[in-house]
Amino acid sequence: MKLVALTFFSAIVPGIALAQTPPEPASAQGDVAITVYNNNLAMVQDVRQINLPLGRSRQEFPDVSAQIRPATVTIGGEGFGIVEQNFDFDLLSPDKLMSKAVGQVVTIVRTNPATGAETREQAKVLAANGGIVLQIGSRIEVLRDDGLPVRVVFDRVPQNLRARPTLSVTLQGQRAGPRPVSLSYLTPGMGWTADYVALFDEKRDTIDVQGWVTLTNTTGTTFTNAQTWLVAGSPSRDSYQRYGYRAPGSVVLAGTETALRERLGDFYVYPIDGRTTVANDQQKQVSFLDAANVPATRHYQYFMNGFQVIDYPVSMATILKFTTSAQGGLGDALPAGTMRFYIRDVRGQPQFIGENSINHTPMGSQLEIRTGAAFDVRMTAKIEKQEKVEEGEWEDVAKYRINSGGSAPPQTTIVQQKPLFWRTDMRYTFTNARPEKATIEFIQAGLSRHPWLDTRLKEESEKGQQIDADRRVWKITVPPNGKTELTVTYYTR
Amino acid sequence: MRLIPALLAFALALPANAGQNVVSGEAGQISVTVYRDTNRSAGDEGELDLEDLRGYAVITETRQIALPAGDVTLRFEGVANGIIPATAIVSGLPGGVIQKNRDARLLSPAALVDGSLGRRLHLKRTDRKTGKVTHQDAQLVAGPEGGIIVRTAQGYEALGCAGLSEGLIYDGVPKGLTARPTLSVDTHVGQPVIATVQLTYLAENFDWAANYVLRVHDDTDKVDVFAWMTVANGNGESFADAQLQAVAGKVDREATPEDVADNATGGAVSLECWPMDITSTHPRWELKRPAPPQPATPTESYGYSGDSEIIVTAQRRSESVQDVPLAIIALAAEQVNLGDLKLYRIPEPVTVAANAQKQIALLQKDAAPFTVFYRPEELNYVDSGYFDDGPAHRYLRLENKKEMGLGIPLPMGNVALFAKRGNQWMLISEEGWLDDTPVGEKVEIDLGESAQVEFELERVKDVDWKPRMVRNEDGEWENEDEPDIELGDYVLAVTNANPYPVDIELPIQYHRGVRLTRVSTKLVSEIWPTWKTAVPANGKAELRFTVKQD
Repeated sequence: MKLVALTFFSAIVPGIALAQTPPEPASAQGDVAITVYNNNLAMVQDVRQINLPLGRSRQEFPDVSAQIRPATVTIGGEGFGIVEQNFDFDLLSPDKLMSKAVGQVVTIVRTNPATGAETREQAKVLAANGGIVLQIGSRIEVLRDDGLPVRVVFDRVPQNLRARPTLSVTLQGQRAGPRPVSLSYLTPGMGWTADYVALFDEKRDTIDVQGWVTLTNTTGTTFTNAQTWLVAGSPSRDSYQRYGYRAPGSVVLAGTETALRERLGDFYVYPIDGRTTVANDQQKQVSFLDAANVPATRHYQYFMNGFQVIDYPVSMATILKFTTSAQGGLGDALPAGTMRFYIRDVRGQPQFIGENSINHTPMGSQLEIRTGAAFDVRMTAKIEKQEKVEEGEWEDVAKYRINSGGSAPPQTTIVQQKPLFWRTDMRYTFTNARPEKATIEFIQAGLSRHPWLDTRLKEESEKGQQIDADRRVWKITVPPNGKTELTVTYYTR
Repeated sequence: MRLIPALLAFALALPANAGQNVVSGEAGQISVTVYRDTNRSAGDEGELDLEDLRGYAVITETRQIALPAGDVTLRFEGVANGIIPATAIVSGLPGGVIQKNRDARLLSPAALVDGSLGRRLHLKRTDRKTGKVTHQDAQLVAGPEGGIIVRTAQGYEALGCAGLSEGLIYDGVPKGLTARPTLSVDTHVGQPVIATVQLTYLAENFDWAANYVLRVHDDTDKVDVFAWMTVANGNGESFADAQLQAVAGKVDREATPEDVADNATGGAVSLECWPMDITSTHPRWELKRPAPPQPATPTESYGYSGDSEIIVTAQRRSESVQDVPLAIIALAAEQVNLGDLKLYRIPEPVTVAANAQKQIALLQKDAAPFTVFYRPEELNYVDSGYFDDGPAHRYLRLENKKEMGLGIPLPMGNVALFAKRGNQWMLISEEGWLDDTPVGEKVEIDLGESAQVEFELERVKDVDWKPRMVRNEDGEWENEDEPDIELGDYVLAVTNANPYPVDIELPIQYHRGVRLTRVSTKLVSEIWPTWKTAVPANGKAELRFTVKQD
C-alpha cells in the first residue's frame, strides 16, 4: 500500500506512452476524390501512403465516412495481398471497458474525504452485474459501496473497442516499404440537388437563369481537399424518382440534344473546379449554369377533369414556358432540383413569384413550369344543358329465350335500343382583370374515361385541338380587363 | 508550471478557413417581402400564431464591405434563423462567388469532445473538501457517445465515474466549429475594394394576413371597407428600418429542403458509467439522466388587430357616448402588380421586430353599396337527400367595381362587420371570410347564422328510379347501377320571423341525369338555376318543383 499525493507534477511523469500522441492529429485521409449521386449516395476514393511491413500486418483506416457501407470497400495497391477486412463498430465506453475487465486486475484509488489523501490498491473485477464486485486481497467489496469517491484505473483498453467505427484490413505484405494504397467505398449521408434562380422579365419575355449545385454532407466526416464530381442521376433504386410527385407543368417535350458536358454512362457529370473541403454538416453551393436572355413566355392554364360546374371563380395556373435547347433556349441539360422564379418589382428589386421542382431534363426539352395561381385570370364553368339523346343505329341490347312449355318451341325476343347519348352543353367563362391580354390554355380531360367511353364533339365556339382520346385543349385569348366565353357541345355515352 | 494562462487562449481561437475571413457588418438597407401561408383559410384565419408561422419572406440585405485582396471567405451574420440556405443569392462581389457554404458544426460540449478525440487535454480535479485543484495531462480516448474515457499517466479512466469533481480543459476549439449555423461565400478579390454586396434569401417563420373591418353607417346600404395588413416575424432577428412588402396571391412552394443546421445541436454528451449498484440500492441502478426539458408553457399570443379593435371601440363607447370620429390613416400600403401576384409596399421604412407582429393599413374604400341576402350555409344538391335544412346564413354582397365603390384587388382575409347605431359601433359579425378577389368579381361575406330565417325542403311525393341499359366499361350492355338520386315532387319553404322582408338567393343544384320540371316560380339563370325572391316580414315563401328522371 502506497500513499501518493497527487500534485501538479504528477502530469509530468516521464517515459509514458502519452508522448507518442501527435499534438494535432490531421485527418488521416490521403488524396480524396468523391463522386456524389443525387440519391443520398457518394463514392469515396482515398489514396493513402502506407508503410507496409513484410508479412501480415493489420492496418487501420481512420477518418473514413462514419456511415461507410463496409461491404462496398475495395482496397487497391501493389505488393500486398488482402487477408481480411474488418469493420469494428463496438464503441469504447466506460460500461464496455468495465465489463471487458471482468477477471482482470485494475487499480483503485481511494480519496480520503477528510484529508484528500489517496490510497492505491490492486483489485480484481469479479463481476459487473448491476454493480461492480471487486476482490481486494482476500476481501470482497462492492465498488463505492460506502458512497465515497473511488477512481478505477485500467491498464489498457480492449483491442477491438474503438472510439469510432473503424475499418481495419489485414494485409500480407510481399515487400516492405511505403506505397500508395487506395481505399474506395460507398457511403450514404452525402447527396446533391440543383437550385435554379430564374429572373423573368415580363416586358421582354426572357429569363436569366443561374444554376447552382447544392451538395450536402451529413456523413459525420469531413473530406479535406477533395476532388469532387456530381453525377446527375441515381445509379441504384430510387423510389422518389419512380413514385415521386410530378409537378404540374414540367417537361412537356423531352429533348434530344446532347449537352457539352462530361458524361458517365447516361449521366451528366458536374465537376467542382479545383479541390474543395466538404465539411461535415455543411451545405455547399457551386455555380454550374449562367444563361441570360433566354426567351420565355407566360401563359395561363386550367385542367378540368370531367364536366364540372365551377360556380365560384377559380384562378388559373401561371405557367412559364421555355426550352433547354441550344437554339433559343438555356442550352444545357438540367439536373433535377428546384427552380425559383423572380420578377423585378417597380423599383427594380427582384421579388420571388414561385418555385417548382424539375426532374433531370435533357437538353432540347420544352419546359412548362407552374409558379402559382394568377390573381386576376380566373374562370367559371356552367353546364348549360344536359339531356338524353338517342342517336345512331339500332343495336341489340338484350336477348331473351321464352319457353312457354309444352311442345311449343322457345321464342327468342331481342330488345333493341338506339345508342343513348348525353348531350352536354358546357359554357366556360374566362375573365382577365389585368391591363394586358391573357393567353389561356384550357384543357378538358375525362373525355374517354368511364362512364364516358365515347365522347363526340358536336360544336365548339373556338377551334380546339385534341391532345389524345381523353383530352382536348383550347387556346383562348382574353382581352385586357375583359372576358371570353367558350361554349362546347359534347355527346357522350 | 502553471497551465492556466495557456488555457485562456482558446477563447481567441477561430476556425481557420483557407484565405482570409471577413465578417459582414451591419446590413445597410434591408428589404423584407412577406408571403402568406396560402393553406390558411376561412377556418383558421384570424390570429396568426407567432409560434407556428407557416408563411415565409424574401429578405434582401445590402452591405458595404471592405474586402482585402486575395482569396476571401465572407461570412454573413445577423441573417434570419429561418433562412433556407439553398435560396441565398449573393451579388455585387467583384470576383463573383466561387462557392457558398452553410456550416452547421456547432460548438458545444459534445462537439468539443468529438473534435478533441485523440488529442491532448487536461483533466482537472477539485477536492470538494479543501478546494484544492489538480491538473493532469490526459488524452481523450473515447466519447462523447456512451461516456468519456481518458488516458492519463496512470492508465485509462472513465470521466465522472469516481465520485470526484472532474472536468476536461481543452487547449483550443477544434477547427470548423461555430457558435451558430453560418452562411459564407468564397470569392477572390483582385484589389482591396469596398464592395456593395447584396444578399437575398428566403426565410421561414414569417406570415401575414389581411384583416378586414367593415363599417355600416346608420341604417344605410353603404359600407366603409378597411383592412389591416398584419405582418408577423417569428424569427429571433429584428430588421430595423426595413422596406416592408407583402405579397398576395397563391405562390407555389416546394417542401423546404432540409437544412444541415436543422439537427445541428452539436450533439449530446452522455456521461454514462458502468453499472453502479451498491448493496443499499441493488438491484435498480439507473443511469442518471438529466430531466427532459419541460415544454415551454405556451404564452399568450400577441393581440390580434381585429379583436382588439373591436374591444377598444366598444370600450370607448361605454366610457363616452360622444360621437368620436375614427382616426384617420396616416400610413397605408401601396399596391402594385408583381407578375400575377399583388405586391403591397409600405412607403416608409419600418422595423420588423423579432418575435413580434405589426399592423399597417392595407387598403381603404369608403361608402361601397352592398346588399344582404340569405341562403343555407352548405349548398347541397336538392335531390341528394342531404339538403341543409334549418337556419339560414346571412350574406353581405359587394361588387368589386369602381362604380360600386371598390374596384381594387382584395387579398384574402377575415372580415369583421360593425354597424353604427346612433353614436355606438356594434359588432355584427366577425365570422366573415373573403377570398382573393380580383377587380370585377362579386364578394360574398358570410355574416353567420340567422335564427330568424329558416329553409326546409320536403319531398312530398317519392318516385322510383327506372334503371336503363347502359354500356359498361367493357362496352357491353347492362342495367345501370341505381344512382343516389331522390326523384319526386318537392316543396322548398323559407320562413322569415323578422319584422321586415328579406331577400333569399338559392342556387338549385341537382344531379346529372335528372331535370327540374313543374317549377312553381321562374328561376334565374345563373351558373345554377337560382331561386331569388323576397320573403315578406313575418312571412313565408315556397318553391315547388319536380325532380324527374331524364
